[in-house]
This record gives sequence, C-alpha cells and structure tokens, in this order.
Amino acid sequence: MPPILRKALIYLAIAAVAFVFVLPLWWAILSSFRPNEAIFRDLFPFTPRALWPEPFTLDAYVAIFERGFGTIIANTLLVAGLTTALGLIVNGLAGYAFALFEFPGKSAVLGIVVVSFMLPFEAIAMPLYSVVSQLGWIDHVAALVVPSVANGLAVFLFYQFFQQVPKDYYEAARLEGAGWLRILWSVYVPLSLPTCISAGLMLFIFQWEAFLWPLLAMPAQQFKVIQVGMAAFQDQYTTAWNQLFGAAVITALIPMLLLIPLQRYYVQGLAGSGIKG
Amino acid sequence: MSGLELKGLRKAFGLTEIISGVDLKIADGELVVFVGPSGCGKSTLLRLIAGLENVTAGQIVIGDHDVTKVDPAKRGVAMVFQSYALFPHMTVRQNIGFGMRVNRVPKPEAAARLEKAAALLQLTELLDRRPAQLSGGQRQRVAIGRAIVREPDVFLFDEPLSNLDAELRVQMRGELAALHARLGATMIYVTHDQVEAMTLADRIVVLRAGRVEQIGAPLDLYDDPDNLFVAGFLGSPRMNFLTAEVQPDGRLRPNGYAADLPSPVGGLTPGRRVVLGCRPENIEITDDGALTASVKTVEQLGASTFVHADCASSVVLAAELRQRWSLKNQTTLRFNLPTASTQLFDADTGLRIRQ
Repeated sequence: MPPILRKALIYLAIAAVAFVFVLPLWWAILSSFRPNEAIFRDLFPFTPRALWPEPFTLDAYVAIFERGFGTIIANTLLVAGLTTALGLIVNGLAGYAFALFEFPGKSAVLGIVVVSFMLPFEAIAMPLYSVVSQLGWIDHVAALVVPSVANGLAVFLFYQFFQQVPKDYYEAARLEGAGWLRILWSVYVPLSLPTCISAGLMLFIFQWEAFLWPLLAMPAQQFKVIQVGMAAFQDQYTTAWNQLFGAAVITALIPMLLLIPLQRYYVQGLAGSGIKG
Repeated sequence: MSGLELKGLRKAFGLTEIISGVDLKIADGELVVFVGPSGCGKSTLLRLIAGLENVTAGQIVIGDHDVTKVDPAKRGVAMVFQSYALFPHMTVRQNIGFGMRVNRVPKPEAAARLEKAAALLQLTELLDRRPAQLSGGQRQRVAIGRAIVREPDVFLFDEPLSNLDAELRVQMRGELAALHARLGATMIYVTHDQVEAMTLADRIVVLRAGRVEQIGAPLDLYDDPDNLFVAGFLGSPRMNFLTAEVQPDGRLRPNGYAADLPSPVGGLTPGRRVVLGCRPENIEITDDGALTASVKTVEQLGASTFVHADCASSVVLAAELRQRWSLKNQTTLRFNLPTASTQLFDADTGLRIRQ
C-alpha cells in the first residue's frame, strides 16, 4: 500500500470516529437554530440536510429568554460562584492544615475526607435533606451552597499540592515572623494557583451540573438553577425540542468559556505541578 | 549582637534521642562551626536554636534572654537554609524584604536596609529578578541578604554551600569569611565538610551521635584531638591509626609487625592496647624505617603526592609527601612514625592518652 493511501485511510478512520463523537453535539447546536416542527423532518428518512440548520431561526433562543432562562443562568452563576469562592477558602485551609500541621487523629480525618469523595451523592441525599430541613434552609439559597462548599476532592487536591511544597519555605517564612495565615496567603497561595484553578473549576462545574439536590432542596421552584430549569422545557404532553436544545447549548457553553482560558492551569494542576526552585 | 548559651540541651523524637545533652557557650561575634558526620544531630541542634524544633530538656539563652520557649520569629535569629528557601514567585527585592513587610518595618527604613544589604552582597543589579533567573551563588547571596536585613543577634547557616559546585564553594567560603569579619555578628554554621569547618571557624564543635566530642579552635583540634573520632574526622586524608600493644619495656608493637616503636607517652602498663595516630604529612618514608607497607596507589597532585599503602593487619596507610614520587604499585616501602608527631589513644575507649 503506498504511504499516501495508508495515511488517507488512517485519517478517514479518525474522521469517522470523530464524527460519531461530534455528531450529537452538532445536532444539538443546529437543532437549537431550527423551528421546533422542523427538527425531525430530515431524519426519517435521513437526508444530508439534517446536518445543516435550515431553515435557520433564533426563535428558540428568544423563547427561552422570554421564559426566564436569563434569571436561571444568573441564579446558577450566583450559586456556583458562591460555592467556588467559599469552597476555595474552606478546602484550601483544610488542605493546608492537613499538609502542614500535626494534630491527633489527622490520618483518620484525612481518611474520612478521601472516602467522602468516593461516596455517590445519592447515598447522602436523604440524610442531607433532613439536616437541611432541620436548619430551615429548604427553598433557601443556603441549601444549595453550604452543603457543596466542603468538597473532599478539593481538600485532597490542596493537601497533595501543599505537601509537595518544600517545608523550608514554611520555616523560612516562620523565622521571618509570618504567622501561618500570612504564610498561606503570601507563599502557598501564589505557588498553588494551578491547584486553586483546578479546584475552583471543579467546584464550579459540580454546582453547574447539580440536578438532583436542587430539585430536592428547592421544591417551591421559585429559585431555579440551570439543570432544573432545563428539565422544565419538557412537560408532560409537549416538548419544545428547539428550546431544550438551545438551553442545552447555553448550559454547555458557559463552563466551556470558563475552561478554555484556564485549561493550561487545569491540566497542570491535576497532573501535580512541579515547583521551580 | 549577642552571645548564645546552650545548657544541657536535649532533643528526642519519640524514644530516639537525637541530641543528648549539649552544653556550649558562644561569645558575641564568634563564628562557631558545628561539624560531624550525617546523622550526628548538627542540623537538629541548629533547628533547636532557631526554634523550628521544640526542646525536650535544657535551655537556650541568647544574650540575656532565655529563649527556650520563645517563638522562632522573636528569638533574634536569622537562618540561611541549605535549599536557600527563596520564594520562587517573588523577586529578589521581595524575597529580601519579606520579613520587613511582615513585621511592618517603616518603608523608608526597609528600603535603606535593603539597599545596604544588596550593595554589601553585590545584588543591586539583580533586585528585580526571580530566583529561577539566578545562578547558585547568586541565590546563596540572596538567602544571606534575607538574613542580614533582619539584623539578627545570631546568624544560623545550615550547610549553605553544599548545593554549589566545588569552585563556587571555595569562592563563597571566602565571601562568608569576609562577611563575618565585616558584620562582626555571632554566627553558627553547620557543615559536614571539615575543610569548611577548618577554614571558617573561630571555634569548631565536633558532634557525634548527639554529643559534643570536642570544642576548640580549628588548629587546636587538628593538633591536639581528645579522641580517635575527632582525630579521624578532621584532616584529609584522615589520620593514620595503627593498633599496638605496650611491651614490657614500655615500647609499642604495632599489630602484625615484629618491630617496636618508642612511645610518645611514658609509664604505660605493659599489655595495654593502644592506637598510634599519625597524620599523613608526618609519616616519614625512609629506607631505614622500622615498618613496611606495600604501595597501593600513588596520587600525584603536583604540589604534593599522596601514597596509599597496605600495612600489616590490613590497615591502609596514607602518606603525604612534598617531593614527587615515582614508586610503582606493589613495591614495598619502609616508613617511620616520628614520635614527636604521633598521638596515642586508648584502643578500648578511643580517648587520647596524654602525658
């Protein structure tokens, strides 16, 4: 087989696999630009026109924002942003304590933290519900934010990173008269920016994707977050497919816009960044 | 500036005792070097003085203050770490000024101190660089600069030159000696390198297994060691040791030889086992030498020549000669240990036997 043909075949195979992966996404995007009644038109029987947004309309986007999707996005950004900000502080402090301080029961507590992120959320949903309802937080934003702030995986990410930072930095700063909070802020945080970004994105996306818990904790549906809001586009008798797809596209787009500029740090952070002396 | 005193200092990690009772008085302005093999506790001792480890028992006094329980930052000590511990995200200026920022030193004063230290250490041009952009020697100077601006009572150096290459180490050694002369500050310097200890110290503290073996001026320790360990630790190649037995006539017979040597110390009990110590530069290689050895290797360094030879009883003898030497391997040479420059130690306790 001549090399050029061989190469062509390989590319063809790659393209075919890529097509399979991209197709659902592409179909979602183009369907959001079609009128609702035209969505399934070219699929049965299938014609290539099914792969092109034609007829093209922005009706779906106009409709979802008319139905209050803007507020839903704002709600979710508020919840996810609060969780990220508080989560970075709480989990960073916890990771710092585990990495630098000796205290009785440290390894046991660390063990529990590690186990906590292996538990599926469904397993703790009901006990958590009763705690939150005792606190009177049902239908309150606190019910969404507070339980998600402490995150075992984020604590562990910080712990692992801080543990790798040479202890000499801590001791040098200590001798200079800096207290442990000052050392965290002036030395450890600047060194751990990739970890902060990884953990922050993780917390953000965790909230962004939350569906079951907001559904349970916000039964009145006065304050809707994005996943719950999206489900509302599908009612019992009719489904506004084009609006559903439009909402899905927006839902996917926002974390992507966040991730792309920070991707470099995200990968670096998860891979455990090295420290340059 | 002030002196420092350690009183019965002990440190144990769990059941393992690392420092077993150290008493030491360091005068104001003195440069004292802690030296010893790895694991002897010299770094731990320094960290106890710095306050980075808690004392198990004993007292640390700096100036007139008992600082045993004082916070590390308030002891008036500054430490230069082996790794330098420069904060990688800060410039040289920020690194040196970190402590002053933390302690809210007024800005004009902080700037003045920084400029002064930078000029002293030739760092002025480098103030806006980050540690990663500096050479090893420059990083070393920044670490020293960070210590200087704190104007401490006592400087602590933890093996500061061990990350540098040989040439730079010699250069930095010179700079440190000059710095000590200029600042006149009390300094404690930890190293495992006996050459650094010999060249820098006003006094050397030789440590082994958490105990002080001997304290004294470098040449005093070299010329007049208290025990086998100190004798063997200082000097390179190390002192030659031949085990011998005291004969009825008071002369000494080295193991494996039929010849007797005069003893540098009189009145020894016959039958006592002793160790003869003689430094390589004092070994006399002569045709009428009383002892023989088989040449193993000859190292020609130009100015001097080191001969390593196998003695009887499988001891390796090292001799340093001023003249060039062209003996082939395996040749037998005859040598003498000049009585005046031979030291005697007890073979069982390792302690020096003095007249």
